[in-house]
Amino acid sequence: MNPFLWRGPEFLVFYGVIGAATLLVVALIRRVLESKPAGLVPNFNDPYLIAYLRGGRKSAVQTALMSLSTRNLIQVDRQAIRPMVSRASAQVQHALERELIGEMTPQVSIANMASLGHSHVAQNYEVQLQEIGLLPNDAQHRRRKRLCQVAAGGLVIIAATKIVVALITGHSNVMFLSIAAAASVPLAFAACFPRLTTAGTEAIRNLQVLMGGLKGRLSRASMTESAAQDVLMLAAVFGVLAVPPRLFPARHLLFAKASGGNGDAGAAGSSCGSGCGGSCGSGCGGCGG
Amino acid sequence: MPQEVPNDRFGIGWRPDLAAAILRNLDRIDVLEVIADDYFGAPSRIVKSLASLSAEHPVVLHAVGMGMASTIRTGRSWFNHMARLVDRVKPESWSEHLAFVRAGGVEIGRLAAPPRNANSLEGTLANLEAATRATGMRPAMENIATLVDPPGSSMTEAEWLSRVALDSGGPLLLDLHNVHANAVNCGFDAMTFLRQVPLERVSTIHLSGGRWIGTRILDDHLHDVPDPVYDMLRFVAGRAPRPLTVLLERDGKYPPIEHLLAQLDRARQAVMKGRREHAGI
Repeated sequence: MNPFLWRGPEFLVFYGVIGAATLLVVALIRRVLESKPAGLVPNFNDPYLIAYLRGGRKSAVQTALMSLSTRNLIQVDRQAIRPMVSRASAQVQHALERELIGEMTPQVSIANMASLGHSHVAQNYEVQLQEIGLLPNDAQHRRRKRLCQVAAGGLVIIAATKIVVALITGHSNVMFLSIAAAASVPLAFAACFPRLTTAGTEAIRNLQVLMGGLKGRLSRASMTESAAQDVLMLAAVFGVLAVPPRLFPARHLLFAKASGGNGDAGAAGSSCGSGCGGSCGSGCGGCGG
Repeated sequence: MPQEVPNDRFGIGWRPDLAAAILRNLDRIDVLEVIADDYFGAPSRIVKSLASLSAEHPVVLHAVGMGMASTIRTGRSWFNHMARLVDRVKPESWSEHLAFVRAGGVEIGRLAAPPRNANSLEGTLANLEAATRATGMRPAMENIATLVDPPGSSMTEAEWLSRVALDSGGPLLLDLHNVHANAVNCGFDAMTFLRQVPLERVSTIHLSGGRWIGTRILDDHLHDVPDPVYDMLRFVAGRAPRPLTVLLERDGKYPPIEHLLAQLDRARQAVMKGRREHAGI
C-alpha cells in the first residue's frame, strides 16, 4: 500500500492526518522542552511587566495609558492624547510612564498611538522575561526553528513527492494538494513559534485564575487609591477592556478598536466549595470559625 | 522587626477579592492561608494555579466543612479531597475546626460547638486519626466561637480543648478572637482560659474581628482585630515555645490592604513584646 499511488482524495485525507499529527507532535515537543516547574511572575509590583508578558509591548503601553488616564495625568479626546504633566513630574514614577509622557508631549494623535513605547523599557521586559524562561530565548528560538524546518520541510517533501508521482502518471489536478502543502508551512510556524514559552503561558493563566475575583469586586468598587492599584492589576492581567468603563471613562476613546483578545480572558477566581454555609472564598466568618 | 523573632511568621487569609493586593504585598506577608474547601473537586487549572502560588510562597490550607468534632465519623470523601489537594498543592500544613457541621444527614450550614464530653472527645480523636492517615499530615485543630455554651457538656472548653490537643498529640490552632468572643458570650476570663490550655501545642494563631450583638460578640470576620485580642496574642507569645504562624482572617467588608497589613504589623509587635517579656529582655 504505497500512499503515493493512492487516488487524489484518499491521499488528501492521508496528508491531512499526517499533517495534523506532525503539528501535534511538534507542539508537544516544544511544550515539553519549554516547560518548567509551575510558577507565577517575578515581580507583582510591576503590572507593566505582567501586561508585557500577556500581550507584549502593545499591552504594556495600553495598560500604562489606562493608568495615566485614570490618574488624570493625560487628557484624551477623539483626536489626541495630551500629557497634563511633564515627564519629570513626581506623579510619574515608572520608567515606562515617563517614556510615554515624553513621546506624547505636546500631543500624539490617537491614530499614532501604536507608535508609542518602542523603548528600552519594553526591551528590558523582553530580556527579563527571557531570562526567567517565560519568553523564548535565543537557544529556544533556534530549537523552534529546527523543529519548524523539520515539520514544514517534511510535509512539503511528502506533498512534492506525490505531486511529481501524479504528474508522471498523467494526473494534472494537484491544486488542492499544492494548497495543503503551502498551508502546512504557516501552520507549522504557528505550532513552533507561539509568543510565550509553555512556562510563560502557564504563568499568565495561573495569574488569571488567581485574580479572577478582581473583576467582580471592581464592578462594584469606586475609584479609591487602593482600588486604583487593583484596577491597574486587572488591566495588566486581563487587558484594558476588562476594566469597567465606570472606572476608566476614556476607555472608549483610547481603545475603541482594541482587539477583543486583550480583554476577554475570563478565568474564575476559584471554585465554590461547601464551606460552612458561606459563599465562594468567604472563609468561615460569622459561622464560628 | 521580623528579624527579632525569626521563627514566627505572619500571614493573611487568601481571599479572591484580596488576591491582587496580597500578591502586590507578598514581601510583607510571610504565609498565606487558603480555604481548602473552595478547591475540593475544583477543575485542574484552578488547583494548578493554587499550586503555582504555593510553589512561590508558603501556603497553609484551612478546611471548614469536615465537622471533625463529632461523634459522627467524617466521611472518607472529605479526607480524600484533602489528601488530593495536599498532594497537588504541597502546603506546609493544614487545619480544621473543632466543630460539627452535620447531624442526622442534615448539613447545619455553620460551625457548631459540640457538647464537650467524653463521647465527642472520642469521636474527635477518631476523626483526627483518620484525617492524619488519609492525608499524611496531622491537622492543627482550631477552637471555634459560639454564642452559647453547648448543652450536654461535662467539661469546660479549656478542659476539652486540652484533652483534644494532648490525647491526639497534634498541634493547636488557637483562634484568639474566638476565645475573646466565647469569654464574653459564656462568661469566663480569657486570660484564665489561656493559662489552662496547653500553649506548648499551639503552632498557629488566628486573629480576626467581630461585632457586638446585644451583650454577645459575633465572630463575623468583617471587622478589625480588637485590642483585647492583641493583649492575648502577647500573652500567648510569651508562653508558647513553638514558632508561631499568626494569620489574620478577613472575610468581607474589605478595607484597603494597607489597613490589613497595619494589623499584621501590630500583631508582629505584640508577638515580639510577648517573646521579649518571656525572655526577660
